[in-house]
Amino acid sequence: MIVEAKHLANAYKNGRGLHDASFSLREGTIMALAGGNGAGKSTLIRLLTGQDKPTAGELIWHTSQDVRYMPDDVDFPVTLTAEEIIALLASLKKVSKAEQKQVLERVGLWEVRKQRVQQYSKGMRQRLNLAQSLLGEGKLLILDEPTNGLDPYWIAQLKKMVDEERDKGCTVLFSTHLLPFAESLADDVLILHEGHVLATGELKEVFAKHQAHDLETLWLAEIERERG
Amino acid sequence: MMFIKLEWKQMLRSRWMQMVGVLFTFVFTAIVVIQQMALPETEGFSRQTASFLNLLLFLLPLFILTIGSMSVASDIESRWLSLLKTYPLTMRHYILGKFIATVFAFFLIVIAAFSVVLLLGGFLGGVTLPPVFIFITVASIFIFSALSVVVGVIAKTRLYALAVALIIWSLLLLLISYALMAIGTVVAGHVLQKITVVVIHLNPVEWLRFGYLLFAEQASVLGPSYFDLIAFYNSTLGNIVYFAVTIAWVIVPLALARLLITRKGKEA
Repeated sequence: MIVEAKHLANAYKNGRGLHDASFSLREGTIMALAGGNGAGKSTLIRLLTGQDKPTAGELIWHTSQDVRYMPDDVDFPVTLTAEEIIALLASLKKVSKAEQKQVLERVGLWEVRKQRVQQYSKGMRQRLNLAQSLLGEGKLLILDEPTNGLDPYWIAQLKKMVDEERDKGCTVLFSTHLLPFAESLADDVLILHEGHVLATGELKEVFAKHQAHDLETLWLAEIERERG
Repeated sequence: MMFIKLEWKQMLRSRWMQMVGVLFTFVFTAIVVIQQMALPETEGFSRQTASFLNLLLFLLPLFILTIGSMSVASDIESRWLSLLKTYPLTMRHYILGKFIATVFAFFLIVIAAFSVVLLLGGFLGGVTLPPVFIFITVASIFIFSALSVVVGVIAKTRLYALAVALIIWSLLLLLISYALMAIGTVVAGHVLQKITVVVIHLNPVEWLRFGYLLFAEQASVLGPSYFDLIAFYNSTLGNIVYFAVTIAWVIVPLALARLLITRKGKEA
């Protein structure tokens, strides 16, 4: 286990956020974090990345809290080039030039590395975002809505990269609205709804427990049940 | 170092910064040419010195406050700062990086403007940039860069930063002076003199203006009622106090910016 959450909460004034979430993240696995808008996914990610502190409950880390993170809504400085942005972030993590080249090649931006970000399309910016999250050796990789803006080719490449990270011993947590995508990639799942956990655990066990054969059916059935 | 270097690059590549550089150089040069044509070869606190000082204390704070604060607010608004917070970058380094980059960027603008002025002076004659003027310029860049960082941290968006920067600029440049004039109509002279002394210390614009007059040995323009204040600041202890207050005007805003940005987790 890499991290364990016990009755974790961080609610905002408008009532949204996370109210009570308990789950564990197994080492060397891929976990999908699913849920609708306002389910608490971003709040949970902010807690895991140390951007916020829980107002209740706790996060118990069983390893160093060395997280690599791909946010869903970052705008990179537009007057810098991809090469400069990666070099800057790599310098903070003391990552070699060879690895900087490697991550830019993995996301297909090596050839256009000298172009300023303002010339990039949405998909290219998202790939740059992915590239920065691949820098370094952090044991936990968190991807917030990684498929946003990516075309089918790069979604397939993303899957491959996530698998490669797991094969290297890294634990991956990714949030998504795309339930079929989550199913195709994840070993484990954590489904949030209005700040609390609807279902969590190994995908197969979750399906068996909730008598569902896919995440969409499970999610809809659980929401219907909640609403009475 | 890499952080400062790229922050600096970003500033220099910004269109707004480039326009400010051209404008500052143009206005500076225009003043020199116009003054030389209208009133050549003057001694002491000339109209040219007054124009330079006004430009320095009017335009430079405006440009630094707006550009510096928007640079920080932009990082918050774009969530670039949120991403940086997940990297091993302390907020102390972030604040210092922003401050140093702003200082370097404005140094470059001022050096460019001064170079053009001096070059032009070579043709026109009679144009000088006394060391005290250069010292006040440097102090002005340091103080307003520090203030711009704290304004940027307070603001959540670029537009908000622009508004706060303009409010602070008008407060320091205009409103405090007008308030002082208004107070002068209802209080006794000796009370107004004490309030003025306090305002000189609490308003960085007045502090720099006072510093210029002091070190250029032209403080007598303040009038005989400020003789004791001038005498104190002309002493060795006074000089030390002047430098200490100037440094405090840099350190206190930076410390405040660091405190606010670390507390700002939720918004950032």
